[in-house]
Amino acid sequence: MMEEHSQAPNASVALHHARDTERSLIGVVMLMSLMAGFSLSLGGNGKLVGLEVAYCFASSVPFALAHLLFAAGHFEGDEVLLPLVGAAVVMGYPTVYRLRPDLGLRQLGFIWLGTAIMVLFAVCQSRRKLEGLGFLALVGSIALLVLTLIVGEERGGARSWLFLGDMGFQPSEVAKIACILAGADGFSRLSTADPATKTRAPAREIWGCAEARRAILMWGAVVLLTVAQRDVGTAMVIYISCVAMAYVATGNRVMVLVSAGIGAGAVIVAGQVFPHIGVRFVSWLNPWADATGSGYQMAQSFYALASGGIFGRGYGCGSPWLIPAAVTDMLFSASGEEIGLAGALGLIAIYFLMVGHGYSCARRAGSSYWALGAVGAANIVAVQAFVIIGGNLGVLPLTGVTLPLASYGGTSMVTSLAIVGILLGSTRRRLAACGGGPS
Amino acid sequence: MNQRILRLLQAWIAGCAILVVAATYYQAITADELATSPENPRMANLERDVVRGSILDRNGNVICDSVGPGLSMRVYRGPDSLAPLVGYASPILGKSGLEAAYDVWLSGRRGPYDMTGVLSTLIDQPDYGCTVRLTIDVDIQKACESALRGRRGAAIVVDAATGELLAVASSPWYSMKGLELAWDSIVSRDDSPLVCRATCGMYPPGSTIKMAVAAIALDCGVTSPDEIYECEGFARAGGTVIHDPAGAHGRVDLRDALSVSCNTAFVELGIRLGPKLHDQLRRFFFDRSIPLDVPTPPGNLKVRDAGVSGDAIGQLAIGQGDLLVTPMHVAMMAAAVVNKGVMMRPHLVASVSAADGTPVMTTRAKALAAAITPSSADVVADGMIQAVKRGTARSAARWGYDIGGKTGTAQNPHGSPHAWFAGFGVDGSQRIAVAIVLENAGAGGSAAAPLGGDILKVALDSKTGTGR
Repeated sequence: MMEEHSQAPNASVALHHARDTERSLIGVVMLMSLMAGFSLSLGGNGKLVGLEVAYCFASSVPFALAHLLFAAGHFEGDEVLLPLVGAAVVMGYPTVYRLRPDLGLRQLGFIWLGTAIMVLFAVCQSRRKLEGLGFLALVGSIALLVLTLIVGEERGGARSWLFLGDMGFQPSEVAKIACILAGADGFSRLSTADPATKTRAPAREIWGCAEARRAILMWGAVVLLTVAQRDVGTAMVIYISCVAMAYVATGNRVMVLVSAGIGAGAVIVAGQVFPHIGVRFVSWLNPWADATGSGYQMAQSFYALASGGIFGRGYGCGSPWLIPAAVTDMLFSASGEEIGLAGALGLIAIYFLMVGHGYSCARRAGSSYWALGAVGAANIVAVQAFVIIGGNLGVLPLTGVTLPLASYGGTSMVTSLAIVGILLGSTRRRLAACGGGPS
Repeated sequence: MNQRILRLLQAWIAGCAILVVAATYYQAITADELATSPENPRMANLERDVVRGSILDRNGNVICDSVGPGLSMRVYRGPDSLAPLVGYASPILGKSGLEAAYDVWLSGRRGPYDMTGVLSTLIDQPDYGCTVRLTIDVDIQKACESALRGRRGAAIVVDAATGELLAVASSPWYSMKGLELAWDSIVSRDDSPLVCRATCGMYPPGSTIKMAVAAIALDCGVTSPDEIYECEGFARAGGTVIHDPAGAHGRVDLRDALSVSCNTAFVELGIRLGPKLHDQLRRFFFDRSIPLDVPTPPGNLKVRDAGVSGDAIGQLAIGQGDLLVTPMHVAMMAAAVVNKGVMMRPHLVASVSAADGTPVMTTRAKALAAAITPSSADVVADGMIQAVKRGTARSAARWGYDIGGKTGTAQNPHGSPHAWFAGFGVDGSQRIAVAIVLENAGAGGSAAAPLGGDILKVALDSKTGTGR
């Protein structure tokens, strides 16, 4: 399927070997999925081997296949990220299946489809095939967002769904990918984006660079359109991720401060304009004041987390369905009840390592385009995971975003996997490959 | 640029640290409280699936148990006079009394079953709540019950050496069978059968308070055991003249005064103590509630800084006036007298254990207060023994038993006086204290003392407690 086009003469032999680290770790992920399957089967119907084992195992298989493709195609990206991505998916899937067995097969389909797209993005990104496509993608996304505002449908308070027949998807999710690519395209032109440099770009220099200016303007358009759909959570994730990406590229601290001020002001204005956001704030400050009304979801989240305790009640033995939106927004608390603090800390650790390792890889990336691509992708995963886990834990006001790679949702799963695909593809270290490509 | 990526990495580490702290806080540190909160919808589900734990007496007799999972399977088997204390656990009415106070254990919300989700599913058996073993002795409880049958009142028996409550009887009682159906008529009854009179009924203590007044007078040094009082049959306190219904007692010492319940002598002691009397009665918890496994009301003694009238002191010294206490206050006062002045912390629950017998929690005897000095306690006890031998409490005497007691005839605005008997029985190291009150039943010596004697005889015969 894949061929190595650019055989650099000084390539180390180890890189062309069969990705041993990745293989071992993928083995661990598959073992995890089996254990989850056995536990789910035991808790659900008392039998050690049930259908659940097959389902859970099937959630890990695409990552094994992705590994085989990477190995066969001499993919030169990082070897630790793919198993971490697999671990997040494998940790999330049993809870989704256990809450909604009827959605188990769909979610499995999303995981398989998403993994295929992840491999595609990884390979294309590592060969710089995506470079220059960012603005096109962003224009397309903006067009879809505008279309959504006109003909979109409302689900869960946000008018962010576009339907093609029965198939629905959220353009705001897809826009995340475009924002990363466009940001990497636009900001890699700046001299301050050079990995080694410590210099900072003043605002005039940033604005003077046409590509960077275009990226900033189009990011703004995406954020505004997403807010207009009342999908404030996603808008926040994109906004913070993009500002962090621009900071890395430019080092302009004033820009960060101004952006933070604009963000805070926007949140306050949004609290006034959208009543449901104001309510979220009030119930964040004191969920127990109205535990049967506006604070209901948070109260149920706390009850679930507390009922899980340190070791959890075991898959199938808790009552996580008592939390509203358990399979999507509240997946962290829902799984926290059954896998306990031990499992919840494990889940946090997986995201911690995934994003942390992503940033480390960005520091070693072969070009500023890759470095920015990796940073942008890691930012999205980091901000979204923090916003929703923090929301589930009452650290932040609850926003309606999914736990990336774990929650139920087609667009969310595929987009998240595509984003980690960009991250994977951006971890290629050799400069020699930069200029390469298909001959 | 690499340096700035490092900044993001640092921010991410800080963010994850916040998440870890928050998760640990909610899942480990505050988890117990929220997990077992009755507001947690899991608890209602658990109640449906768990066989609620049994309540046993101290010898393992079943007072209350469940024949299957769920609250509707609750069956009350114990003595009826214990029902107001044990309370009910009903899917319609909710829970009361001990059923409410020990709900976390009985329901299995807390205990060794907490984390056996997977295992119990495997074994495919319903979970069981914990068993609560009371300090109550069903035989003594039944003795109290037959003493109270057909009357309104309360009897409470306590092991003075340990604070274990051996019987807590309240009359009238209600039938646990069909409680939900009869609820409206039970609630509308004038004689309040739902109230556990022994722990929550409020009565003027009458002359039973004299044991406390005598002890306080001795401890404060305003009298000595050998002082002789001249009883002329009345005493003046402020503007009120307080009479001795039996007439002049003549020359009496403190023991005699207790024995014959001489109002004159105690009004004199009250006047000597002055405002100190209010202050010192707090040692007997008359101004607050005695801590117990179930909520109990405080006594209504009000400590005034100054300006206590002589009238009020005179009334207080003979247990009249506006002071109201529970029968448990009176029983604990008698218990302190017979336990060398030390009031033990009363308790109702001996232990909590898992359904398979694994102990979960055991109550240990603890002193609550040193209410009286040991020497004063001996003098008061002597006076009370004399009262049973040849004083007002003669009808409590039982041949071959060492019994002391103090009667009371408490005037009240609801009709005839309440009849009181507070006493103790000693057998070797066994020290049992009892208090019995019969509402509007007349004189304590004739109405309450014989019943008190009967109860003490059964309690001493049962060899329950430390004498065993």
